[in-house]
Amino acid sequence: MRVAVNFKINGRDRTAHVEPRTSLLDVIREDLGLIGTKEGCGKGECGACTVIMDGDAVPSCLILAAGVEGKEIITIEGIGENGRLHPLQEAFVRYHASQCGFCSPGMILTAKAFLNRNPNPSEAEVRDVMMSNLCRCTGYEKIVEAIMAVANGEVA
Amino acid sequence: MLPEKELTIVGTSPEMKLTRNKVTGRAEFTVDMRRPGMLYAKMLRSPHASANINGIDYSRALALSGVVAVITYEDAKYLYKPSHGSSREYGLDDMVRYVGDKVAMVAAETEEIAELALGYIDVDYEVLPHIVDMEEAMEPDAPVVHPERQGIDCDGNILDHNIQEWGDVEEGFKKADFIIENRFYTPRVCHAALEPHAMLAEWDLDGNLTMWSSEQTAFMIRDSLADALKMPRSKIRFIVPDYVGGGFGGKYESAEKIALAILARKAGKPVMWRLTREEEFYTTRTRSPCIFESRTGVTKDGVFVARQMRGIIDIGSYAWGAIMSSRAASYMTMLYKCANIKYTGYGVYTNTPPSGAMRGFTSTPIHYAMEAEIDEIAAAIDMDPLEFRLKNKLNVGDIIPLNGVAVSSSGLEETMLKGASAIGWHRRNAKPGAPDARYKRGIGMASYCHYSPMLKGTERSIGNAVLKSNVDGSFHLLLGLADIGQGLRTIMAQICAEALGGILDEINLTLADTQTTPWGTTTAASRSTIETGGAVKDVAEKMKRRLIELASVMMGLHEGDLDTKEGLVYELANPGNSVRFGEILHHPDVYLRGDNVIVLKSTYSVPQFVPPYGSQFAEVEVDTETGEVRVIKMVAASDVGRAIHPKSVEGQLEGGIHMGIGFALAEELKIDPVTGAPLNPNFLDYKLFRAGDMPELKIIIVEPVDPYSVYGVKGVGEMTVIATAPAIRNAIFNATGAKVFRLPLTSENVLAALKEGHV
Repeated sequence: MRVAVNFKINGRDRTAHVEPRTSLLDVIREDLGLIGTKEGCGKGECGACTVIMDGDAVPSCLILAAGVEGKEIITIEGIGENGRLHPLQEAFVRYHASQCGFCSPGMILTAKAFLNRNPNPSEAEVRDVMMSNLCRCTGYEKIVEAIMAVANGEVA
Repeated sequence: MLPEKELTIVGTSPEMKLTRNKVTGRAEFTVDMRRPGMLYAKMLRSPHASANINGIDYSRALALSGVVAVITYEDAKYLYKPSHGSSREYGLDDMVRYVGDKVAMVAAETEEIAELALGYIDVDYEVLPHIVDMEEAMEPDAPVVHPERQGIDCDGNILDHNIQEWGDVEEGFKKADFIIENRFYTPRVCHAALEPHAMLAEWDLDGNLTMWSSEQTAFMIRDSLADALKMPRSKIRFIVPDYVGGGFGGKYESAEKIALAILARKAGKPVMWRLTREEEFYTTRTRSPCIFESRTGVTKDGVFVARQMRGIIDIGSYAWGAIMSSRAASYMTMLYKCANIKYTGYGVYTNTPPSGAMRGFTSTPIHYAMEAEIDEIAAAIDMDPLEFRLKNKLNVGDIIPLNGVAVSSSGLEETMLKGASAIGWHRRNAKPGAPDARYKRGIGMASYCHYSPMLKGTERSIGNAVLKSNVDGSFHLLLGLADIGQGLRTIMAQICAEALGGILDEINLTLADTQTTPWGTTTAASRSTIETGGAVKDVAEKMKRRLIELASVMMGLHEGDLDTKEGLVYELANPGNSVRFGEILHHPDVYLRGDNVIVLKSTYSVPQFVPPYGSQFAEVEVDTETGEVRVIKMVAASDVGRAIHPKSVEGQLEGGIHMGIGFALAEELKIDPVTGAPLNPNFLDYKLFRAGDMPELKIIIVEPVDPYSVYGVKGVGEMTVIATAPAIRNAIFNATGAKVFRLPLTSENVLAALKEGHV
């Protein structure tokens, strides 16, 4: 039994026909083919599947697709304009904040939702909010550096 | 042996290749791949730590709609001989040896159906006694993990028993004023790469197998597949995709791929298998739990006279190789001078998850024991532990007992002194134990050395590179190694562009594809830049000579009057007189002779053992009421030879500290001592450090350019994970006087040590 659900993703209206138990992550990856949203654990513990929903960074693996009626969702494919990288993406490149890159989309979206709400954070605040996302490669130094560079207006 | 002209690309930190694809979500990892008609695989796993399988009935599973094929040991029982020596694993077997072992595999139209089908497979288990503890496993009457290997390469559960001695430790102990004995334990930890293992197998009707996998090596796995499937190597194409989500030693395995290949052949369709995070934790290899019992003799002046170590390594249910136990001994000979060294090692099977290579392979556990022991010794003889290390360290020109090689370069002393200065070594408590207070602060250090190719002086350590010209003057570099996120693609391009006099953006790479790239070893053991970097430099220099040769005809000048830079061949005496690489290759004469198609190959044999060194310093605060340890600052001073890409080197060193801090304070995959079942295979119960948990980091790069290696480099991928835990442990000792011998340094363990003086 499938249900129709209407939502906006990366600025476009979409309708998906989903099983009630299907996660938003599966709809994004399998139905919409947006592979930038990664599955690292499937239990909301690693942050690799983070998307922005109505302005909040959320783990899409824990959200049922049937429940996103009317929501506005942004994935990593939906930021940056006119072929230009979003400043956070640009900063991740410039400050070498991606090694394997598997956590990068989730990291960037968590940071984006946070900076939208708090454009002038301290480093401690950034470290605190990034607790939701795991990285096994970088030790977080360059990730925090990249986010702070955007917050400080060094990358626009 | 500095290059004649100044380096312009090596030693800079350009943007890493392909990173834009990673930050925009375009990067296609193995798990993102799709093939027409692709099925999904799931593995039925053993609920028992040891059992014989008397039969498997999967008819009910096969009857489910959407299930295409099931395989069991009847399809996939292949024993193979990997390159590491002793037998490692079966595809599927009729005996299971740990909770989580492979039993049967399903291919179905969706992952959900495959998962469902596992519940419809009926397995007739004959449950056997099992053994979880490594020391109990060494007892003569212990249950045997591998009954079929007795008399072949196993004695009971002991796969490997090795004794290595340099000098005569008994004579050494006679000269000792102090003899210190300790016993250390290091836990089972997991690689926890963010991308779980994923692999995709596809057969064509000519019997060719193509496999894509999130992997650290292409050729070694291809070879294992060929042996197991009894196929010519040429009929297997193994590809590591451009994007691999971390490895750390954990993506280096054949058994799963053998099973998947057999499943895909039976199903007649491409099959994708991606592991769940839970499977990732307890069914892929872990770092080996280790026990080290040390006995060390020193003079009252603080000089080593005898060092003895007994190491027991829990290799789990399937060995990665006998090398696991014997290699640990190497590190006893590479860092400090001592005339008498003895190591007695055991590799022991238990009914626990298979263990194997992990960043700082064997080096990380034994350094914990060796470097903690030094602070015990220093306290016993009332000597500053930094002074002790400075006094005993191996220096340039000293012979490394392991392989008889003289140390060709060493920044060890510089790392000790610069690190000490950066942490404020003088601020430490002169004797272990800060004044009475709830929160006590202390400073500790640890030094280390690590692997370099040619450890024994005889091992094959070869790199290959193929470089092709494109008619526009750009180039394609083909290497049989994988970039697993550490930046190999960019670093190799830098070496190539530097040696060629080319432009970095015009060096394109194809990596780790057994059909198109030359044979390569493995992205592991901190060896790629040394081994394959040497071949890349050589092949780029050949290409440069070829371009100069062609240009000399065009320009009417002698080859000796020409050089290259920034994609040009130019006249040394008149740099304005130049021709672009693309112009040379477009020249009609060159084109008509086919001289524009230049394909060159180089093989590089590593000439010398070049280990990296380093020293790490930690400042901690211990809550003496709860045992909680807070690391305030970590300084890592690292002798990297030469940093090809300094920002990337920093990234490796910072990431290594992150893994080392986890190893020190939090990480342990716990196994139920009664049932053998894993207790915490998830990120909630197995704690990785997160951004806000990390201390202040200070990275100091020391570059005593080595005379033998390409551009003087040393392997940096594993360095800082090694000394992080002992530095923190020694800082706790300095803060409180409590001796912790068991990792991880959890509140529980530290509190027990505070109460009893040691744990």
